[in-house]
Amino acid sequence: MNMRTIRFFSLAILLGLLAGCQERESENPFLKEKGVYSGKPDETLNDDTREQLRRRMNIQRGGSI
Amino acid sequence: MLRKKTGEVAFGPRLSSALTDLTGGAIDRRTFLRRSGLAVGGLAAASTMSSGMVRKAEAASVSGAVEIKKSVCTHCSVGCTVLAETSNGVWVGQEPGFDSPFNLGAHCAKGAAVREHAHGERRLKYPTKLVDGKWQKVSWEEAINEIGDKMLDIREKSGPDSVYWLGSAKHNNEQAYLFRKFYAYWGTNNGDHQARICHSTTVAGVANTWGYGAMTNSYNDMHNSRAIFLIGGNPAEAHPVSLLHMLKAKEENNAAFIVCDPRFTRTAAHATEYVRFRSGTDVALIWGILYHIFENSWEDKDFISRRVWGMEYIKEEVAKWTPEEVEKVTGVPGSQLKRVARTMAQNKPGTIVWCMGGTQHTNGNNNTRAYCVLQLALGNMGVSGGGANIFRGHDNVQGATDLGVLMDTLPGYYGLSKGAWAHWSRVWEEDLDWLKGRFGTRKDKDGKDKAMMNEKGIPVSRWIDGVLEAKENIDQPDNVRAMVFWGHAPNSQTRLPDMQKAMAKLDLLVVVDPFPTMSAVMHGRKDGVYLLPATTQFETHGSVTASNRSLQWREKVMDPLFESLPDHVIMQMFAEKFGFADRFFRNIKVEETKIGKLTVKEPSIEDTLREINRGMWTIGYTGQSPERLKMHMANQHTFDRTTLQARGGPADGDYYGLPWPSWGTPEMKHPGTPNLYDNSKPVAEGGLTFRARFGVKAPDEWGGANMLAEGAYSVDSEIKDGYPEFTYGMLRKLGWDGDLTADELAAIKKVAGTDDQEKLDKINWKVDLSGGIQRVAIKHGCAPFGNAKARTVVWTFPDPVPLHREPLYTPRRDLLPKYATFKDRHMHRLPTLYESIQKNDFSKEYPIILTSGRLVEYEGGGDETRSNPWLAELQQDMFVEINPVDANDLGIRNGDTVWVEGPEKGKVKVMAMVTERVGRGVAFMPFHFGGHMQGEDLRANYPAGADPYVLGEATNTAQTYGYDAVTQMQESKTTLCKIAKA
Amino acid sequence: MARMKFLCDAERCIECNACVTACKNEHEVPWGVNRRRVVTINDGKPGERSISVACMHCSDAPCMAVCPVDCFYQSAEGVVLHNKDLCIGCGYCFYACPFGAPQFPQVGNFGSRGKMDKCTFCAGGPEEANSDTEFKKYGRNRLAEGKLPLCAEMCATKALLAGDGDQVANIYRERVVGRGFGSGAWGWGKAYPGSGS
Repeated sequence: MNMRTIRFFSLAILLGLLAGCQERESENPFLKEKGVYSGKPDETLNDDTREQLRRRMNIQRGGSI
Repeated sequence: MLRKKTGEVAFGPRLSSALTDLTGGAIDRRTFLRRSGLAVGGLAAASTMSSGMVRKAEAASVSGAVEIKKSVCTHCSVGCTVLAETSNGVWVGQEPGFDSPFNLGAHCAKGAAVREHAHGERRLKYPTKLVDGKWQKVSWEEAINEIGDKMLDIREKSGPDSVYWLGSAKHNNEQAYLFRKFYAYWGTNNGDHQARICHSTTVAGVANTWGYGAMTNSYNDMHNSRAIFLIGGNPAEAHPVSLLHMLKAKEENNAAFIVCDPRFTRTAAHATEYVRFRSGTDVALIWGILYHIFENSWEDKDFISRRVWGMEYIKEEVAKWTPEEVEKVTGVPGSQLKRVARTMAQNKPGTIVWCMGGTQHTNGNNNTRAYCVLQLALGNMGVSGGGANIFRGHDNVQGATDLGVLMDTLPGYYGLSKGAWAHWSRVWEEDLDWLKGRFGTRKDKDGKDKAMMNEKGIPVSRWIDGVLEAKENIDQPDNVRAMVFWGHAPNSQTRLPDMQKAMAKLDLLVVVDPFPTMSAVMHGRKDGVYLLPATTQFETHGSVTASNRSLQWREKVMDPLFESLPDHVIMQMFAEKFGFADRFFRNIKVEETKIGKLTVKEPSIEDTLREINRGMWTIGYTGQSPERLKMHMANQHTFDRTTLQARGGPADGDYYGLPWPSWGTPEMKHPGTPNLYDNSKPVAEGGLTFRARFGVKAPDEWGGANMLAEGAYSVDSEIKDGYPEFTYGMLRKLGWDGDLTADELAAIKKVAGTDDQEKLDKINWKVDLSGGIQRVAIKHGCAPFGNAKARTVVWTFPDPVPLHREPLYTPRRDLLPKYATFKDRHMHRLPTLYESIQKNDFSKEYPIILTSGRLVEYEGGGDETRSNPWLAELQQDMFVEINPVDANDLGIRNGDTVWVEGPEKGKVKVMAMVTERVGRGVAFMPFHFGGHMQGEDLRANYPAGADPYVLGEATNTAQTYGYDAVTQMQESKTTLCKIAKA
Repeated sequence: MARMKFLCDAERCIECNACVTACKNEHEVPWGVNRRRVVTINDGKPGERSISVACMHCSDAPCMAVCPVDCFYQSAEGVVLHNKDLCIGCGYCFYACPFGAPQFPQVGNFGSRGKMDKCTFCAGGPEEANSDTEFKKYGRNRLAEGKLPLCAEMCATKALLAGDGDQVANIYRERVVGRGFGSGAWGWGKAYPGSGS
């Protein structure tokens, strides 16, 4: 195996590895600002659900209990 | 170390500091549990979890609609509603049943974990038999045929009494009733269930005091209590949701919360007064309290004069119990009992609660009667906020007891007399002579044939003696040769080494259960064992009776898992095998249906309840039709959470679950009776008097006084005084017979079988199948069962006035001359030992008192709950609680493995928990563990994949002989032991 | 809406462990992982009290402060949640948490859920509400269904309260007034400083 072949394969492997480093391949962010959540955002509750939760809380009072 | 009760401080100083807001001090033991997840159950966990999660995940991804099914928790008698979310037949979620007036959405660890039943990884999956020491799968058909043939052979050779049918408090009402009827059709009274070893002494003691043996009020009614007196019960672990109701009274009424127990229980931790007394001295303790009540004239004299008979005999006995004598016997100082007495006298109404700590004694019936007397003296009976709130254990132990799954009665406490059999054969439309022919006979001492039909059977606590005792000492034709455990854990019974011998000696051992139970592994047999998989109550439907006598209806949550079948379907199979299916189900529709791959015949649950309604006149199980019960379940939210009465809606005026007695026919629409003996309401609206059950006059040797109530009667009663129970003759005398309809009169005549006036007059409210006598009595404001005084003296019992008697294995030899036990007796077909055991002194070699009790995570023998990983994880090791002083004397340290040995040489190898929870000289073990026997791990003996996650020694291996002198309740709360490092 | 809070009333808690099994049930939490536990002090002695403990969803959560990869976030309702895709399982949060809430499953049977696991106030995580993925990683999302944490909703004695902090405080205050004493809203001083516990 001559030098050129080795170089070719090395280059090919290197390219392949680099390709695997694309941001979309990872869930993790590359750049981080300390103290800031940079993951996937969560859904928020709508007002109806919040109102429902508020009403439901009263059940824990336990009626006449 | 995975035992929950120990747990070192896993989170060190940070958690301690967080806890300081609460305590101002550091936490000691029992902080976070340390778990490796690798030992014991962990090995099992890996495989289980994956499949459980997969199933849930599959279900979660199903887009199918979620359906809500309403069921009732199967773990205790509170009756918590379980809301099951199902999707495509899979039980995918559990929601709080906020509408239930019993639990308002609340659950304990067990109730919050019942959905695990949908996984059922450790269930017994198909019929299995033991061949050459190996478990072999068989078909249902094969199993029923082989078992049936063997039983028929035993029947032929030894008579029907040689097969023992052990039923279950886990059956629903309809199954329990069919089971009771089933062993009647088989031809024996050798049938029983957990109630024998649970509250039999309560039923006997309480029913003989005021008429019925049940809890008089309800969990909810305790909202009205101003004092709660708990003895021998630990509801914080055994009935956790009941604390929801009790703590309300404690917080809002400032109710005194008095807990009497030899052990500082988790309930005692919330007490306003904790009384630690010596196990087995309940009568002395109660008399010690009454001493102060009588001494200070704190008793309710008006109530006593109108509604109680025989208090003077009690006073005579109580006078002997001076504070000094009480302290000598119980260990409780007189000053504390005086304080308790004053608290009870000044805070009325007050309720009394007791459980197994009071009942499971050789003098258990004395204990229960003493508790009743205390309430009668205080005038706390028949009032809201008062009563004897006797918490039942299993979810349907009340129902199964009511339906007569016992060795001494037919359904409804009718007994086993000729009249009782005649009544039930009328209900069953059965030929009485045919039934008689099903039973055996035996030669009595006088050489005459005695019909076994009218003879009480062997209690479950003694079935082992029915096998092991010499044939000539047993009052039945032959020994017990086949044993059927139909929903009963063997490890909840004492004397397990003897049971092992009995199991080995049997010809046939059959287990019908969702789990193999310890029965499957402890017998030491090579063959003759069959395990039949029954379903849980979540795989079928039917009614269940809570502790407060309310009936609730369970819907089916899911189809039976694996090859399991509902109990009533299995009963149908056996009835067919024995050739009486047609007669047995003549009034119950039997429909062919497919369960899994199997085509079976399923008897109608609704029809079964209707048959129950037609026969259970004694205790008013007649008004609770399936339709009314279903209507209540659908309208739970309309019931008041304190009174339990519906306000408006379709159930308007009814009490939730129609607590029995719900008199008359369903059409009469009686609302149920929320508090027994409460005469502040008309009988038609749930009021009641004390039952006239003991004659109108006391026997001459007991003074011959009037037993009927005097100047006390229920509201609207047209008879303004006491009266005996109603008969047709009494209606005639009162001129009320004209109120009977023509149909009712015809029915009464049919029961009498004649027009003869004298015979007709004797037909009473219990046997009138039309319910007409009840209806007319109630129309005139009267209680069908009469209006009498409660009695404090039961002249038919061994101790008419309840006496203190030392346990058979007592550590207090010095008290024996005065408080010795009974003479040996012969009862319930068997010799029963008392003094011949007590006369030997075991207290030197076995100096420590051994008692037992419950843990919140487990129930009964624990096979079901130890197979539930969510629960099993919380309690992984069997343990014994030892006081630090004893532990130090014995050189035992917390966490050591020790041997606990009882005086009958049964011993268990368990972990020591050194704690002040038990007093000096006392050891405690929980009774839910099983699967180890005297140091040997029996895990390999379970059918593959059906071993519970957690196994352990059963305390009952070390527990000893001893049975109540009336009911044969086992003594499992007071024995002796020695403890040594293993 | 005020922030979500837990409160355990030690006068009521009877250590029945319903909260623990309700949590296991709702989220199919495997053996060895305990998002919620009951702690007992003075076990077996007078003064014995129990408290149910899980993540308190602190207003100024120490776990968030120490996380090297910032996998935590706080929802609009004040629920402290974390992203298992970001978590590296380092365990810093465990050391920072005064309540011992973070759990680290053993390698193996719970690997699929990954990394640190803790109480989510039944609010799932950063995935589509009640999707399969959310359930597998974080468990059920009850808040999104308009329901509150099951541990509190199933509590045997209504000792454990969960919901809008103001409402929780009101219910507790009513109770304390009723019985004339209170042993303090356990853990509130630590979890919600300035909330007036």
